[in-house]
This record gives sequence, structure tokens and C-alpha cells, in this order.
Amino acid sequence: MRMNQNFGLLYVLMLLCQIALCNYSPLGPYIMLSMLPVMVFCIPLKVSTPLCMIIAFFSGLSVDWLSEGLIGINAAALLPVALARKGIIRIFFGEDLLSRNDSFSFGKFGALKVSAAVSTAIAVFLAIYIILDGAGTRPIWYNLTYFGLSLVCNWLLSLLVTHILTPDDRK
Amino acid sequence: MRRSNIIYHIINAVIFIALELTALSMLSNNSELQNSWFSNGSQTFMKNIWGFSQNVNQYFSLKKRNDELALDNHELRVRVAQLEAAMADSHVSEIPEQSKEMAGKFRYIPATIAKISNNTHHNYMILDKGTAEGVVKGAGVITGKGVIGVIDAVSEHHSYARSFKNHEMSVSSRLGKDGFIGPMSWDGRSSSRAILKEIPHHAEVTPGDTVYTSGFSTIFPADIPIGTAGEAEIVNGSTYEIEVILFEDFGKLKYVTIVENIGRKEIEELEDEI
Repeated sequence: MRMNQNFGLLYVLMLLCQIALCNYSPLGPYIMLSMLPVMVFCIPLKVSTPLCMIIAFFSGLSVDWLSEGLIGINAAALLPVALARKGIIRIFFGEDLLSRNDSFSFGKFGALKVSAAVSTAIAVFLAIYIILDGAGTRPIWYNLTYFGLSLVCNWLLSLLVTHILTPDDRK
Repeated sequence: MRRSNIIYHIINAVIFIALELTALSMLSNNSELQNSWFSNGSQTFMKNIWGFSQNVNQYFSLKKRNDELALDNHELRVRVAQLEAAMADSHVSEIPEQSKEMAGKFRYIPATIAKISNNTHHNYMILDKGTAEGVVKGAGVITGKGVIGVIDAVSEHHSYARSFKNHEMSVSSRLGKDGFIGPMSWDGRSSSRAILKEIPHHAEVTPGDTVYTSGFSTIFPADIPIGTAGEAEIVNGSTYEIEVILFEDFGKLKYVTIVENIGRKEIEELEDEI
């Protein structure tokens, strides 16, 4: 129970950080930093996929509304991450973790596995975000550069966010 | 267990689709760029679906189409034989030389409908022939079963025709081979009915009589069968309005003939002078 309360509080704090990041970080046209996909990916496994999608939807919308972005874009890009979350966990951490509704962490699975899983979630988010943001008007090289640079930066940020949000690492 | 799993996946899919559509519609409503991108995408998607279903429909109606063509061929052969016999009787040995597209005062160009609208009050169609094939603005569009429309605009390889199923269009028609003449237009409700107006109240109207084009226009040749007369109603105590059940099914149209009156320009110039 305590753990859930802590996660909820941390999630809201991260959301506020993300809003601040969107509003005050001048990163240029080639990088987009977002903690949202990692935050959704780290939601405890006992939370069902439908509830996770609803949380992702409202998280995305709150960031869209409170920052200067396009309303709906973060929500639209986050939903597939929420939908694919258990599938990604199954691929990288195995069925066991899912059946036990346990949580993943750097300590249990190692930095490489966790990084790979989190990067997959980020890649799903970025791919959809970049496609929707460009609306077919940007050249492919720009989209690929945008995707590649953002993936690297978000991966680095995700190490910190995962470390904060996964319970074992908080103990 | 398996059944509950399936239900769980269906619930997931429904919630995902509902939320994703909500997010995308918010995005579309708040940004002009995304809005036009989505509408272009949906139009392309619908066009492909529509084209595919049309192709499937055509494939399955090929046998019927073949039967119709065989019947048309048979009727034409009989007609040619009759004309040859008539020519022999009247000592005419050869037909004056004309291009193969010409027949009398009219020039005929076969065309295929690339797109058709049938469900509005201002229906239209796009044909696959344009100025490159000799199509001109104001030409008529017909089939063996009736009048289909009038060409309103022409590009190099396509033309835009106002459908007969359009409130702005009327065709001069004759009740029977030698009957009274009046304007006929679409009734605006049914896909297979039209109204023939201004037929004098002393005319004898028999349900089932064939209605033909009168030929009193610069657009359509005379004697194209259009439909059969249905119920008649006296309007304002002076003229009949007759329901006409059309021969042509606009929902199944694919092949048409563009018909151009080669003397039309001259007639119009003469009318302008007066």
C-alpha cells in the first residue's frame, strides 16, 4: 500500500517535471525529451492494461494542455506504450514476472535488459509522436535524425526515471 | 480461462481504440496541418476501399454484362440486316463515308465512369475521356437504356458530367414514338423514377408506354428509350405530370457513351443572333 502511494506521488511529481521540461527546455528542433513513456512503462504490473491506458491518456492530455504542444499528441503516442507494456515486459523479462505481478528493476534484471525494454517503449512513443507531429510534411532524413537523437537522449533520461520509479531501487 | 482471456483482449482493444480516436480527434481539431493530413489519409483510404469494392462488384457482374452485350450485338446485327435490305429496296448502294465515331449528326465516344455520386440532390460523375479524345463541354452522356447526364467541364483526360439525377437537369422527352413532348426531370427521391411534365390533359396516357428522348435539344439524339410511363396526375387542372420508371439503374452504371451534336455550335450561334 505504502509502495503504491509512493509510486502515485512520484508519478505526479514526474508529470509536473515533464510539464516544466516541455515549457522551459530549449532543446532545438532535433531533440524531444519525454519522461512519459518510461513513467507509463514503470506503472506497477498489478495495474491492469485498461487502467494503465486511462492513466496514460490523462497523463498525456495534462502535459498537452499545460505545455505549448499540440493537444492530444502525447496522449495519442502514449496509449500504444500502455497497450504494449505487458508485451514488452513479457519479451524482455519473461512470463514469470507477469504471473507474479512483480516489478522489474536494475538490481533484478541488470542495466542492459532494463535499458533495452525501456528503449523499446520509448521507441514506440517517439515513432508515433514524430509521425503525428510531422503530419507527412517532413523529409524522412529529418524524421530519422529526430528519432535517433531523441531516442539516445530519452534513453539517458530513462535510466534516472526508472531508477526513481522502480520499487527495488528505491529501497 | 481462454474465453475470459479473449474478452479481456477485446476490452483492451475497445478501450485503446476509443481513447486513441479521442486523442487523434483532439489533435485534428486543434491543428490545421494534422487535420488536413488526417482528412487526406481518410480520403485515400476510402478511395481505395471504394475502388476495390467496385472492382469486386464488376467482376461478379461480368456474366450479366456479357449476356447484355450479346443481346445488344444480336439486336444490332438484326438492325444492320434490316437497313441493308431497306437500302437495297431504295437502290442506295453505299453509305456516305464518315469517321467510325460518327453517325448522322452525332459523334459518339465510348467512356468509362471513373467516379459517380448517386446519393445527393446534385449528383455527378467523372468520365475517363477528356479533350484529348475530343470531348467538349455541353456534350450528352447516354447508354442504350437512357439519358445519363451532360458534360459540364473537361480536362485533358477526364470530364465532369452533371448526372440526370440532379435537380438542375431536365431532358426533352416524348411519350411513345409519336406522342406529346414535355420536359422530364429526376423526381429527387427515388433512384429509378423521373417525372415527365407539361403533357396536355387531353393526351391519352397509358401506364407502360415507353418514353423516348424527343430529339428537340442540341444535346441528345431522338428516340433513345428512357423508361416507361407510370401513374399520371393532373396538375393545376391543365397538364399531366407522369411518373416515369427509368430503364437505367444508376447504381450499376460503369460504361457510357458521350454523344456530341456536331451541329450544336451552329444552332446556338443562330439562336444568339436572334
